[in-house]
Amino acid sequence: MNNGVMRLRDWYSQRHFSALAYLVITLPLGLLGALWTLVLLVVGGVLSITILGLWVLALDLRLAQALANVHQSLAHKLLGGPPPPGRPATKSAGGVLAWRRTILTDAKGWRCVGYLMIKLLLAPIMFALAAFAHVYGVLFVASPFLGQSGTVHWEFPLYGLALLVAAPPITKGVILVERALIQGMLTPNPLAQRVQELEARRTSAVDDAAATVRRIERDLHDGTQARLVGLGMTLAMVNELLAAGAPPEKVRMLVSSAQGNAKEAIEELRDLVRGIHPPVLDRGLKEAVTTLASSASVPVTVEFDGPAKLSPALESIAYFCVAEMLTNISKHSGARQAQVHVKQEQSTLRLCVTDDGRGGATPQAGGGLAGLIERVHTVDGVLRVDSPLGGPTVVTVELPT
Amino acid sequence: MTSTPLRVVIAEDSAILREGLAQLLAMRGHEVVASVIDADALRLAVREHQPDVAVVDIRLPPGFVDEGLRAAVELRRQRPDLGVLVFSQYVERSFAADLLAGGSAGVGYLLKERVVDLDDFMDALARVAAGGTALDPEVVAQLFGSSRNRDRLDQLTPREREVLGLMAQGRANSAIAAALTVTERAVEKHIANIFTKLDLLPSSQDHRRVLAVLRYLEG
Repeated sequence: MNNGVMRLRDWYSQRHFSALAYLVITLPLGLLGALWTLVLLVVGGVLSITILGLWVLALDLRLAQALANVHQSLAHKLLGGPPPPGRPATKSAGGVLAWRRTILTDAKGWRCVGYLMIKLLLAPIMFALAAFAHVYGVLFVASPFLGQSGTVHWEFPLYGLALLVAAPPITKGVILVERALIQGMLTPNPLAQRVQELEARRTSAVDDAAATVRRIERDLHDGTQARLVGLGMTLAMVNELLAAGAPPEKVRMLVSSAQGNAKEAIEELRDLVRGIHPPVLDRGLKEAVTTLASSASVPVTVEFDGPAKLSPALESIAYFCVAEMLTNISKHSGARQAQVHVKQEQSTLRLCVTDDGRGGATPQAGGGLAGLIERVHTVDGVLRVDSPLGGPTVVTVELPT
Repeated sequence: MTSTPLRVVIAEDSAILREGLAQLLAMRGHEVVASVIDADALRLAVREHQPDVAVVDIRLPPGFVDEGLRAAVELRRQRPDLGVLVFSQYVERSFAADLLAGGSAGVGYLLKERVVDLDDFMDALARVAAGGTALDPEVVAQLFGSSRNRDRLDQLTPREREVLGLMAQGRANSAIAAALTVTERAVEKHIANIFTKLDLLPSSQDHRRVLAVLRYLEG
């Protein structure tokens, strides 16, 4: 008997009832939603000779996406399917027209419409199959006790039992079809997902480049350019003094100030050039990292098991990561020493910078670490900061090679 | 070249340039009544010191976009007697247009490096303080280059174009004559030709003339 109950529980499992719930909920939802989608699609299509039609279509596509999302959420909760994809993190630049164009040209939205159209046909059939097996099973089993007519068909309960036994597999089959439909129509294929990731990455790479150019412009404007104008001013003063027959000491003071300005301008220019492309990188990452370490304000040990030559982009990113982290260490950490470890592991270059400072480092928006994360992201890399209060701080960067 | 001493306010965020400019102005006998580093301080200083002229960097803190320019336009509107010389490391036609939108009287727009030609710079400053105009040759060149009246400008002789350029910079006949090493009579003749060729109404007042020329170039 106990065994029988177990069997029954296996057969009519929690999963089975969840599946039934899914079919019951999605019947009205799917039908009404799909009908509305269809109506708007037709209206939008007819009106598409006017501007209004495109707006109706865009609205319809958004509706279809929302409905498909609800289906997928339900499937996720009740059927254990994959969760619905999050909204793509694309920034909508430039007004409602761009918004409309994005929606109208997004294949995902049209696939949602397709899904709903198929649902319009399939949802009643799916529901009917599952409902038929359950309802008629119960009715047949109960038929001798319902007895409204004279003759009693004692074989009917057997049919009913058979139907009730068959109901779970029938439901399962229906659900398999639904899951295949969701998988086929609504789950983004890995390639499309990859394209989306790459698009996001390209955006951040372009932003990074623009920010760099802006920073260089600012440095030149405020630094070198201002110093050269200052130099010109000092020489103009020298000219004035000479013309007025001023004492040589006075002139000499101005000349040495001009010399100072020229020297500063050259130094700033050199720093700027180093910020764009450190010349030492031409001699390889190892040499560059060692140079960085030797000019840091705390003793830094370097362990380098990396390749002799990397792609210039990777070398540059790796270099600026180490440079930024060493700067952070000397500025904020209060560390007494630090280690830099560069290692090639299969197809990944790992940089690990450790210090014995006070810890508590977090990437802040607009800060150096956040900028590095963006940069690392552009080449599919990751940057992790492990910095408990009290230290030690370990920053790990992994760059695919 | 000595001119009447001017009372000057400087708004410039770079310490080197602020001090260098102050020293140069002092050498030429002008009085720098205030040196400030941002637009708000500039407004305060102008209210407090009532200077003859303000020398204003276009890019000022906190945004480093065009804070100085906007303050200059605003000050010029509020105080018709104040000359405003905008001072920048690059010239931008749109900046010049903003500046000239309220008229060309008492405004100037020069590249910072012009200060190295001290005589020219001091002349420009005096002109602006006196309600005249001083536009950088670079700005004028941009105006020439983008003018929609280029076909008619092409009818001018090279010398006439030079004269037109100097007029657009805001220079008086005597200064144009000195710059081109010709007589003032010759300059007057060139100007008369230019006005005829371009269908401009001649004007005896310098700043009206500048305005007419600039409107023509902008048109």
